[in-house]
Amino acid sequence: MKMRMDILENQPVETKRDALLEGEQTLETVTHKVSSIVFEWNKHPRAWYVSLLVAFAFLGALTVGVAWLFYKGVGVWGINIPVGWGLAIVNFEWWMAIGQSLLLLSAGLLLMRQQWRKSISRILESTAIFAVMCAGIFPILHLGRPWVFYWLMPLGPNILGLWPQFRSPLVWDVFAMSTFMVVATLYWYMGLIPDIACLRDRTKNPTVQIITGVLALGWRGSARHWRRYQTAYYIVAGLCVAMTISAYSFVSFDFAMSIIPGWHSTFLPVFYVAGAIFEGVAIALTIIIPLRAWYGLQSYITDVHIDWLSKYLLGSNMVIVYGYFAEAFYTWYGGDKYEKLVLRNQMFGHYAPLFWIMMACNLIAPLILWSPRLRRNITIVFIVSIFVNLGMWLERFISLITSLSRSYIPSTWGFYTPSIWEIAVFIGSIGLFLFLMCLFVRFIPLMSLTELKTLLANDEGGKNHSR
Amino acid sequence: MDDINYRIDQFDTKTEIRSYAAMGLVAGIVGVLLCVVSLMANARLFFQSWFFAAVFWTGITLGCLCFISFIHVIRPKWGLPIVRILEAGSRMIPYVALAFLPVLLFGMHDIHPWLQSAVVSDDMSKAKLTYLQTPFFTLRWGIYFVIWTLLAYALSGWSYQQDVSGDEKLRQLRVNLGAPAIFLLFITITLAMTDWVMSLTPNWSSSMFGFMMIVSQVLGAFSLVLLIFLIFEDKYPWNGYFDERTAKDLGNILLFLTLIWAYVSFSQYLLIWSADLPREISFYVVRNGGEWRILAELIVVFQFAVPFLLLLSNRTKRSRFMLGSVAGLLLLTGVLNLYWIVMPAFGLHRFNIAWSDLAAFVAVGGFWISGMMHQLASRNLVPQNDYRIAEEDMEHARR
Repeated sequence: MKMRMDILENQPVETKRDALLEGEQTLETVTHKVSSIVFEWNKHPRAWYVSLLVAFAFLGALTVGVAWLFYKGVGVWGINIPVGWGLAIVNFEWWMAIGQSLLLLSAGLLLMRQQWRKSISRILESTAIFAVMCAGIFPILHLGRPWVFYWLMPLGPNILGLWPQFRSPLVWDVFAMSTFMVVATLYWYMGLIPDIACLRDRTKNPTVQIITGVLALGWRGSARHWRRYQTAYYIVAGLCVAMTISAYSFVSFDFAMSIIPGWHSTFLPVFYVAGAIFEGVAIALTIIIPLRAWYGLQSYITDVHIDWLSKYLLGSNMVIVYGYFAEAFYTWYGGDKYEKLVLRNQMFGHYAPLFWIMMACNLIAPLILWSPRLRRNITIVFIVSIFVNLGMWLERFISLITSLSRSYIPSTWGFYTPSIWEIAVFIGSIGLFLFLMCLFVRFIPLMSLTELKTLLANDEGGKNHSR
Repeated sequence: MDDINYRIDQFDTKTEIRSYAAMGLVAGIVGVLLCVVSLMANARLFFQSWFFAAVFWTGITLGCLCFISFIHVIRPKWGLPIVRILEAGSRMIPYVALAFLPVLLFGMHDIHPWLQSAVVSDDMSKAKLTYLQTPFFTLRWGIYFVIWTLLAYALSGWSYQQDVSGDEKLRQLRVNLGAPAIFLLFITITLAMTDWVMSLTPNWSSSMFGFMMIVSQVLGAFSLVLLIFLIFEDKYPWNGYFDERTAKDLGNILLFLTLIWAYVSFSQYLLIWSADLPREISFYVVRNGGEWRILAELIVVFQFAVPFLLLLSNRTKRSRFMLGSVAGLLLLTGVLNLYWIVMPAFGLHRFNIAWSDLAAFVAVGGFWISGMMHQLASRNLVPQNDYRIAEEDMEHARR
């Protein structure tokens, strides 16, 4: 075929700027920059210490909240009949969504061969795992007798004398979460192996040599290693995509399979998965934007990455808006009076202020990002991402609590206000997340060295970095 | 000079495409003649068959339009060889609007139960009845088609213009329109499918339905377009495009759409089945009972299980014949799936494909294929002046 180079010449500036690595980068500079964050631990910016302090303060709240809960029982929370599921499930959903969607994003982008995932995949995966760890504490805490949480596991008649109730959504959550942790950790660790080997080869400290040597599983970087590694990595990524979508759909089935008005909606699985991506991308932006500023990673996580993430935020936002439309339209069209009552309660009832704040966060705030000019302003993107995080938390709160507080029979109506102990546990889970993030930044290469170097390897000598 | 050579080189392929257009025309005319016979034999049955055919081919057209909007937004390299086929398909919107006219003018009472006073029950709210009344229904029908026609002609028109002028601004225009277009299409198609298909079972509603129909339409459209591309794959200018990577990408898109289709269909089924509410379950009671059940099971096996397993393998995706077969299978099961959704609503309790169904399907489809092939043959078969071509060339040169 004839070469049509003239077309490339006429391209607008925008596409020429698609640099995923900026500045003069070689294999050596990339390795040095990323591994120095781990090795030169005394050079961490002040923000890292401040984050750690905040994390400890919040963890204190978690300790107090949990201790009081264990001492007195779930009665210290605001839950009641009919609202038997309070902040615990809201927080569970919220953290779970972050975990599932970020893993989905990392694995999905790998399968779609998206080059821009390479410098943020490690952050996405780690955030995913930490978020699900935070999600995991809530189902256990809400049990009433949390010390026998292992009764939820299918240990079988030999140990417990009976099986768990497989028809209970609580048991599905156990399966959803444990499957997630296994697959996500596997995927994350597989991505880490070549990087750990790199740390092993670079460190002078004998203790670190031993630890990284064990963790690197004897990685030598031979051609055969790479070949098998690539195949396995793609297979696990495929598993991750299938697992995250099905697992989070299952979380939505917790609600949609019931007949409670407002929960029972056939669109809910899609809405939940899209909502999770919306929320996950927002939290990724909330984390990545400060991180790259504090550690001077602007040459590695460029404005292109932020732009792409913003576009994903917009894409998932369109599905959310479509979901709100479908929900409202079919509530009207279906004509069921209880469904209509729930919608009216959401909009004008006891929790109406929260509903309108949510609408502002989920519908209005993302509109800003439609403008390419505003989307390239990092501060604005950061602020929008905070709004979306808040909006999606409120989304869970409204859809879960309103339906329970106003169900079929007026005599069962009631209200729910979270108690200070529930709020303490929620803040505590944020502390736990922050603490894990601090550890991650300190001990694990923030970006995948292997993947970053493949961005260079396209051209001779690894010096050209245009694409 | 370049341009003239290119046009001459495409000549043979275009001749072949035009022969398909002629075949479609013949099929369409034969179909229409059969339809006249069927109309005289049983008008009610004819209108039902014609309605089904019109909904199906509208779905294919809308699927093309959704997919081309998506391609304009994300600009993938694998989109290059199928862009023109999708554009030709999406330009059939005015034609399928015409295909609805017989039903709209004469057959409404044979299709829509809410027009028959006996069926209109107490539990249908007054607002909903007003919403579905013929004047408002027709008005909305018009609005949908105006919106779709404008979108289809704007997007494809800008693409054709860029062939001539090479103006890069046209590309940006398509991106800028494409993203809101997808959203607008989702809303309008959902409303249209509610009007046309969901209202056939007047008391039934499901919030997944619109989304499910859109996914089926895109799956059907992509299968058809892929099939057409694979038929002409060895002809200039398409012969350079079916390399290992593009084949794998296209196959994966097909796999992805199949999975999404199965996911939304299963979710809707599971949630309605488990809740077992009278106002919802009626839809599946009819469709899973009697001989319709056989069709339901066939759809599960041949629209999901078989294509899924085949498409997992790279060998299927690399082979032109295998990939074409899977696309053909998915197109066929797409027809059956819509048949299973639409037809039981007319109270045909026995699963029985009437000959008028085939006649109407061939009539509407024949003209559709003919018109679409004609559209395809009247422009360059692969976009010119597209920066993706230059990028592709650079990669080939590097290899």
